[in-house]
Amino acid sequence: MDLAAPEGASGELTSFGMLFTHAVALETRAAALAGQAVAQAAAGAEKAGLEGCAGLHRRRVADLERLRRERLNEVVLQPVAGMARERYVFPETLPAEARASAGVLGQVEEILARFYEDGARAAGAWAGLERVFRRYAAESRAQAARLP
Amino acid sequence: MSHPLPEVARHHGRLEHFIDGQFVAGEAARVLPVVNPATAEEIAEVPLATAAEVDRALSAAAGVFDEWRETPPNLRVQPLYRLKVLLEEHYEEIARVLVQEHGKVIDEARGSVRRTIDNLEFACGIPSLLMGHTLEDGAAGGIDEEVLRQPLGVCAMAAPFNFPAMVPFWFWPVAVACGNTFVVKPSEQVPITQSRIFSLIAEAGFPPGVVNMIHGDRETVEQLLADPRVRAFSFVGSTPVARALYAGAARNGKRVQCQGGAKNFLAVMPDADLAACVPNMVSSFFGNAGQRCLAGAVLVPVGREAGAVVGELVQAARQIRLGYGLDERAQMGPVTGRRQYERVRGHIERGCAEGAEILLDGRDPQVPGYPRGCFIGPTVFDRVTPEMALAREEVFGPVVAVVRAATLEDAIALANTSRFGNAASIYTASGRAAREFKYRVQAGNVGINLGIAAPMAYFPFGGQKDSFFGDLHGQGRDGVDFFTDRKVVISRWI
Repeated sequence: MDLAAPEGASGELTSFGMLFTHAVALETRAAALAGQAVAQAAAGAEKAGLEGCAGLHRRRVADLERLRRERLNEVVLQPVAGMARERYVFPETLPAEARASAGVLGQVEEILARFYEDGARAAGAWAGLERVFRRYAAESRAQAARLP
Repeated sequence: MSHPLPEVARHHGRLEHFIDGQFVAGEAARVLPVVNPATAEEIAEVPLATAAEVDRALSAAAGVFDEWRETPPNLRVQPLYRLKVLLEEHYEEIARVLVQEHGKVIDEARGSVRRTIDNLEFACGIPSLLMGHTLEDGAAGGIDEEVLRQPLGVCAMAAPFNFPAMVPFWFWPVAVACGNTFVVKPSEQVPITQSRIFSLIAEAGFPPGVVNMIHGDRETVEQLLADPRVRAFSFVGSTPVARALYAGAARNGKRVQCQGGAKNFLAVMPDADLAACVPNMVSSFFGNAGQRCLAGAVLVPVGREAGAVVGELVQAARQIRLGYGLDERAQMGPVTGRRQYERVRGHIERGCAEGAEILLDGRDPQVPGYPRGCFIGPTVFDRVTPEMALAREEVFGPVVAVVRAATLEDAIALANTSRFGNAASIYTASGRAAREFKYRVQAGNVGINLGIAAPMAYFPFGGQKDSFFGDLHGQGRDGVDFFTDRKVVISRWI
């Protein structure tokens, strides 16, 4: 049974469910882009770094899904505001050249950091989620700084 | 056009009872349709059990009781552990089925499935929870005294429509872990979720007959109440039914706990941080389309600046997006069924007729893509007086009555005039005001800067006055006490 989220929805992210769904979609895409960059990179430290980046995003997908399943209850539910999906959109593809790809991945990390910083503010009433989003934002900022 | 998450199935077929470890097709001539309240489509059929089917379920539960109670507690919880794993695996699927038949939005459904699992986890701790106590030389020198907890026998419950997954789990897991056997009757309005859960229960490895499910209605409940094999009965629903079942069960010598309706007051002090508390109040008043026994129903702004909180609440309520709960953009779904829809509309019309000032009218909202759905938008009445029905009667819908109070003392007095006592909340920056409120307000669940004071599985789910009939509540240690007898043993060895 396919229980995946629908494609193509747009507009404001107005609920925790939408925040999670969008976060999972972004992380899945980030892992795929990082995987493409790994394939382009020559062996060495840079390739290892990109593999680490892909692994980070794959782990986050699993962690976000578990977080939604285990921690969401009615006490923390309330409307979410100030999150326009259009602010958090990745490039469709990577450039053919490896170094340029790494640069695009840096932009991806910046977008992720912005998403999690905004999300942490929007999720302020749910302290557990706010904490996780702030950690993810810091990780993505650090990851962006490491990429060329 | 909306983009809903996929439904698990468009139609769930004719549901079956679960008796003696087997799913069995109902023999009844009486079959009800189950209708998606957002789309108005029929999504299942539910057979109402015959008297013979109810009897078979009770016979199965009674027949296995001795074997089950003699199973050590650490082994009795093993199927519960397996069921927890199965529920985790099917978490999203169950949440989506729940939305489809009930109407609540997917986040609310996910949250309620989590609380379902929380209750299961609590019951898994029964080897510790079930321990008795002993006092050496407690009766006299050389004569010891001890207390043992023992199961009662066959227990049963009837569930409400507002939490199709969770509410049965307030009762049966802890009852079964204590060594009892059980018969669950889901709400006939929303029986699909529990049926799906029972397909997991069937895989979890309980001996046949330990947990049973029969679909039915009032006749089924009356039979359960009358049958001498049922030793304890649990119910959650409206106050008139809760009161009647409490009396009926007591008349038949059963242990009983019946949770009834509510009219919950949310007091907002002048020092409350509105930016923080208004979104929380929105969730309390309009979450689950107001169909929660813990939902806020009466907003009580305290002091002269009442206009600010009312204005901000109305402004926030206007922003709420209605839709099919499987569309994650929806912040509020329909109410559950046409009867509930008409009932809530009736309350709104009565509020208008009684002279309350309607600031936001949720009748006839436009919900693109769902013209036949049972949608009622957020509704706010101001200038409600304590005598009006809006301030006194349970609406069980997304309707707020604003009753102003000059002081905290007035606000508490207002809440305490209610015949209900399920929940009450205060929003304030003052510890003193919060302390005064929690000390004096007559409600079983109190929220401080929190609009949904929903006790976790390891705490009892409170309720006072006409909101609860019985002594021991559902959940927590109350559940262990309810589902066990305490036996005192005094022993002397010569």
